[in-house]
Amino acid sequence: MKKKRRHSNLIIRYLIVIFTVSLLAAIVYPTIISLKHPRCANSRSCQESLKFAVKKDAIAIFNNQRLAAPNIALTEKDTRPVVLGTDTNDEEKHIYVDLTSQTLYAFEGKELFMQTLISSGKWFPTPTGDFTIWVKLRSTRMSGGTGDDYYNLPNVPYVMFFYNQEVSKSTGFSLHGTYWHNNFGHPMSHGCVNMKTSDVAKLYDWANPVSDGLTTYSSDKNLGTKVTIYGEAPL
Amino acid sequence: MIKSNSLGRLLILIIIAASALLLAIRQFSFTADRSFSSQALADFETPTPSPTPFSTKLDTKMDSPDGKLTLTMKQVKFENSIDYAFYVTGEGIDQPRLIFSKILPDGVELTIPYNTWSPDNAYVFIKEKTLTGDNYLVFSTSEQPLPNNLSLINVSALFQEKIDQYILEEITGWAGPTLLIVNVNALTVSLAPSFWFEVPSQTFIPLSIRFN
Repeated sequence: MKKKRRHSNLIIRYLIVIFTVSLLAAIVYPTIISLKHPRCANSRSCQESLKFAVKKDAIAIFNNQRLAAPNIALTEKDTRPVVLGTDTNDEEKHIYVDLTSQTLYAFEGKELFMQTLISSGKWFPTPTGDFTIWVKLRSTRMSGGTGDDYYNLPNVPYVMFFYNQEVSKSTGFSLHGTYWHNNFGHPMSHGCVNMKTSDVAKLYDWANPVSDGLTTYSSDKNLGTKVTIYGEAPL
Repeated sequence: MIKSNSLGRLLILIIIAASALLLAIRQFSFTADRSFSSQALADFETPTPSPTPFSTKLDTKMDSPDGKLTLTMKQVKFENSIDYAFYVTGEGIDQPRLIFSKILPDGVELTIPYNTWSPDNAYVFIKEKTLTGDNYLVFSTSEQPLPNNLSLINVSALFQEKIDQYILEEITGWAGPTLLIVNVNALTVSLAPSFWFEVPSQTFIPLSIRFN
């Protein structure tokens, strides 16, 4: 009788250990995976930010504050088709983002086109590595986070999504304009590279693929500019 | 013999008289020269004031993040002081709008931080570097005054008055249209969590994280 009881106690103990280990694995593993391979930068809807979107007189929410999202005034330049091959400068364009100094550099060959302060990920890390711009959107909506961290940002201007083999297109990391904060030189984003709208407007016009309307995908004939992100953000 | 002697004496007398006359003439002319020189020296010892003071002018500008407005700091440097004036110009503003002016002695200076503009362009903040510490001053950029009819808010002085256990280290920028990011050090530990300063209510909101 005693032997039988000991045996069942042992089984219960084993079951408790197996359950505890499984529970820990279920919590820890997805966290590690999500840190190494983020699901997407704007988690509310991973696909939402990847499409062109404009809303008139929209209200944005960031850091628990409501603010008016600036209306996007589309000009002829934004919508006209561009004839490819008119750019006579053959020098390769390359964007570098130094997370340590929170600085972006844009080079055309050896010539510096732009140097400016940015804001990288504060609530979610900006991925490092070599990337390529795969789509440019004149404007989109970005949303994500929960509780005090909830954000909903319509009319995000001049968005350039980048990707590589480890960070897929659907993760939604991009360079884009910012109207909801002004804290450049310090991490302040949910993983994207935030820029002053006046800076990113120039970069958007300069970077490839050459804009061909409100949404421009890169292609074999219209390759995207390379983006290299390196360093460690001062979190 | 006597005749030749008296002729010689006469010749000597004539030479002496001529020399004396020449000396007298030269003496007269030297006096005139000296009187002219002393006049020039008098001019040098009592200079007349210059109509233009020693000064240099310098303009520093910072555009708003959307590129629509510009904050300009005009400095006129004198020998022992600097005259500052801050103007807002740009879209929808006909004449440069003066938002602040101040004359400061040597050793105190005003600067425009990179993130001076609030995201909606309603406010700017500037930094005053003094010998005893930094002051951060907030201004309205429109013709509307700040809450409570204030022309400026000295965030540093307000922080010192309201929050005991921390020292204001730096204001880095804006977390929202009305939220300034205030980095602080604890009296015992450095790198404490940040605060937000809400401009309309003039309150400090403690946070659980630090914005580096």
